[in-house]
Amino acid sequence: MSTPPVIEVRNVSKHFTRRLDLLKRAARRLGAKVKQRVVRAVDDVTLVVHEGEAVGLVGESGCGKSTLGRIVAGIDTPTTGEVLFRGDRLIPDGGAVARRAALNVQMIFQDPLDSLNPRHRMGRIVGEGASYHRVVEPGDLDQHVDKVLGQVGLDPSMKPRFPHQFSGGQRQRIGIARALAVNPEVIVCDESVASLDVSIQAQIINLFMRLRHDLGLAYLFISHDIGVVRHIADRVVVMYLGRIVEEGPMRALFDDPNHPYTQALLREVPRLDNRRVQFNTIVGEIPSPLDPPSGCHFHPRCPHAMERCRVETPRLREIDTGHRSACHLNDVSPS
Amino acid sequence: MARADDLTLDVRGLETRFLTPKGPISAIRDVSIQVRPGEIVGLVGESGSGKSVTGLSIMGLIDAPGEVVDGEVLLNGEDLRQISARRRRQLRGDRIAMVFQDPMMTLNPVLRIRTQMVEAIRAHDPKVGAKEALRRCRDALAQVGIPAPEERLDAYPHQFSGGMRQRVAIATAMLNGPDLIIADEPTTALDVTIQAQILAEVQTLCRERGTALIWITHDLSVVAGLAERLYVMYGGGIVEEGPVDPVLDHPLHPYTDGLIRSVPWHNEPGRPLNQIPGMIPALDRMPRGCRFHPRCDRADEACRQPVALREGPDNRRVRCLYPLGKV
Amino acid sequence: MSDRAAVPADDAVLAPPPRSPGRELLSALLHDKLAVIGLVIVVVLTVLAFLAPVIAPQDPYDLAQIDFMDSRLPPGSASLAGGTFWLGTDDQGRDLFSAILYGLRTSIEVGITSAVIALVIGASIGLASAYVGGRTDALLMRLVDIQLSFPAILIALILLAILGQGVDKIIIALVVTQWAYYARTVRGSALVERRRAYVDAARCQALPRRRIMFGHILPNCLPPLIVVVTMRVAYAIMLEATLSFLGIGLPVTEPSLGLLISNGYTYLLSGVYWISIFPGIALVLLIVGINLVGDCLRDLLNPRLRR
Repeated sequence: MSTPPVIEVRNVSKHFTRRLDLLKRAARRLGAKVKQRVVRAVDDVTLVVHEGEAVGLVGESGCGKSTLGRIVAGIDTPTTGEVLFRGDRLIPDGGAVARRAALNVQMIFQDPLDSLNPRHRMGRIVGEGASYHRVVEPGDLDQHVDKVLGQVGLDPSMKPRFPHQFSGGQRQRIGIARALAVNPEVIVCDESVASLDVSIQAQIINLFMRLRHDLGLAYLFISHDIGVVRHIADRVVVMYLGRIVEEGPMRALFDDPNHPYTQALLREVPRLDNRRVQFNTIVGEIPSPLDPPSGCHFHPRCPHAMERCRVETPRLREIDTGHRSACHLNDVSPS
Repeated sequence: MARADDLTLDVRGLETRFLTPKGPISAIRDVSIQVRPGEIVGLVGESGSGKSVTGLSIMGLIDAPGEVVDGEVLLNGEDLRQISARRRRQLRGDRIAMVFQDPMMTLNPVLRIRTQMVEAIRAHDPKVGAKEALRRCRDALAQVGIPAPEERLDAYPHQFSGGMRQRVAIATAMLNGPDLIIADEPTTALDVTIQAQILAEVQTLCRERGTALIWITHDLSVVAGLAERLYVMYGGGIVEEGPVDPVLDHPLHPYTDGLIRSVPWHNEPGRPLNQIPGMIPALDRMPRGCRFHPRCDRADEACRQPVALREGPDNRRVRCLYPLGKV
Repeated sequence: MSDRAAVPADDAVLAPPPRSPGRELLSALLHDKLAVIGLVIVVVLTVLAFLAPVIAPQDPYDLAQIDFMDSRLPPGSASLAGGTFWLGTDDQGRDLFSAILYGLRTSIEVGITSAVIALVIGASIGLASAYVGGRTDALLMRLVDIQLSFPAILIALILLAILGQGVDKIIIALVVTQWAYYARTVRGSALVERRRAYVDAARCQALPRRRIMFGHILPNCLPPLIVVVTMRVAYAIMLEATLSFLGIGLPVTEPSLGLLISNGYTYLLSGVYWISIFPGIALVLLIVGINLVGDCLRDLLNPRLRR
């Protein structure tokens, strides 16, 4: 990518600590071995989104993709590390610079209905941010909102309606209009089409792609649906239990997945052209993020696991131009 | 298809209505489904298509304000709508069982798995001894891929992960060796790798036991790999049915066609997806005639009249005046 | 293919006219018989109370209008001045009907004023507690717990003993005993609302905290709050009546319903029933009316009970 980065995620970690109750805290004071339970939802992730680029982020539940998305969108703060928008730090509830950065990164949520305030009319939902931050002059607000509604395919005459009076697809369009109204450069989509019906999902995906083309938006597209990510993303990042295990250009990653987890994930996606297949599965459950396996998190389920995978955490290494993978196998058989 | 004794399930002209403040509304109408012994059938539709209501209607689990108002549900030749409530309870869980999207619908959170599974066996056959019952529970858990079933029997549902819980629900449904299982989106909430595991296990189980299965889902890709025959539902009715291969490769109904073409895997990455215009109609605002006609580019005036299910080649049927292939 | 096609033309025609949640609630309320009865009672009593200076035959505060010779007349008696005492007179010769109207006004004023003040204080504390969380939340909620573990009447008694009599004093006492209910209610629903995606969305739009708290979260906490408010107003009126009955509430110069009941109490067994009974009936009517409305609101606003 030749374009400059708009989003830089630098060594971001997010830990959730389950606070001990009074009894356990007292026991700990007295020297008992009560461990604080820490979930490393995101574990030292570094990631770049370039201008106008669509980056897909895939992984299964508990892999930290949603947490990372919320950090990039400025909703949550990382425990360590930082997120930069064009060099400015993104922090929630920060000063003027941080606020400008925050506005430039907008998020589209998974549940369209939950993401719209049930007591606000559609016009207010879409226009509030733009009006508060003076994105446009107060006199031009109505016109601005109408323009944005047109961009997402909503009829401006529906502005006085409440969210529950719209269909699922329309609600997601409202969420998109709200994001667009503050003129962002980056959109974080967290499972934004997952709750929609197939026929509506296609409409929204097309809308995302058209907006990207028309407005030059960059996307961080988070999804468990590999088919959707394959369709939208230029570059794909695969996460497993808080860590990036592989990233690379979409074609390279789909045609020649390097990490055994990526391979398994791609193999097991149900596809229309796989008829009456004998499902061939990787064994085991996704481990609890509370207690992830040592070394490479994937080793208990990996068919190629070696002794080294149990003790040493593999680092992300470049295996081809822009294609990086975190697997010890790449050391064993140098290609 | 012959209306014969060799069918495990033969549903004819099923209609279920719901009473709403605006009057009665048909959630499904004229639904007919045939399932042969050991056959895996996919029932596909989007939200509001009536696929879940169909499953519940077959099971006789529709509660007020809903009511099955028409049609027959023949299970091994016995009409479930005509028999006594007692007989129906007897058959349910024994000859016919259901698996839900949320396994906690069938699992009691305060009872051990052992208690629930043994009860499921004894409810239908009180003569089974304690040891025998326990052995059957253990085998059932092992068959759905639960490691250390002996120990897991003593666990409570909340001690299982989502995937494991769904496995327990499937194992419980399988306990009495039913002839038919109706599974309503059982893997939708699960991750890809876990879904694949469960699909594999279900497939093997049905093949070994000769259990027939109706797999209800919104995801065509899942049934493509699992089912032998498909029923596609839209707006409360079946719009197309037939063996998986011809239906997916050469769909007859414009809706099926649009649905298949809008799946991202079937499109060149980065290009606009084929999309079906418009919205899914709400139940109380169903268009007259063919329910799909307002969203269909082949529709004309004639589509505003009721359209009958037409026979096509290869045991296929389609409810369309202008299908995409020869009928 | 254009995305615009996704909006079918007929949709605008079929959609119900947008109504605000408040108006929808009101129309649902008017469909419930009991609620309408309650609403009518409350509205009629309130209107009568506030029109008291206009419709009351007598100003019970104006000693010039009161003749001691008229005391303890039974209902329907003629007054010396020529009018009729429809509900009789009390031991000082006041027309009971007029006294009840004025008493109602005082009761309603005190009840609503204290409820509104307690609501503002309690809701703000509850909202802040939920939104800020952590130690602040823990501290405030322990305070609420302590407050609620004492009987309201006890706190009011102690406060009034310290502060003395007076309308302002009793309002303070009522606010102190009531705010914790509002704080706890608002905190409970705000904690749920805070986790919803629309709050994340508002934060993502870099809206300031105060705007998110009061403009986004608070309106969604209103349903349970409205129910609590109606119930608490009724309770405040009752508490005030109790305190006045005990003689530590309002001064004799501003008779509320409680004081009127207490005035007739000594005569109750000597056949002069009306001095206590009629103010009592007025009080019961008011409380029942408010509670009928409150009950119905609770049913309407509880999504689980909704038909």
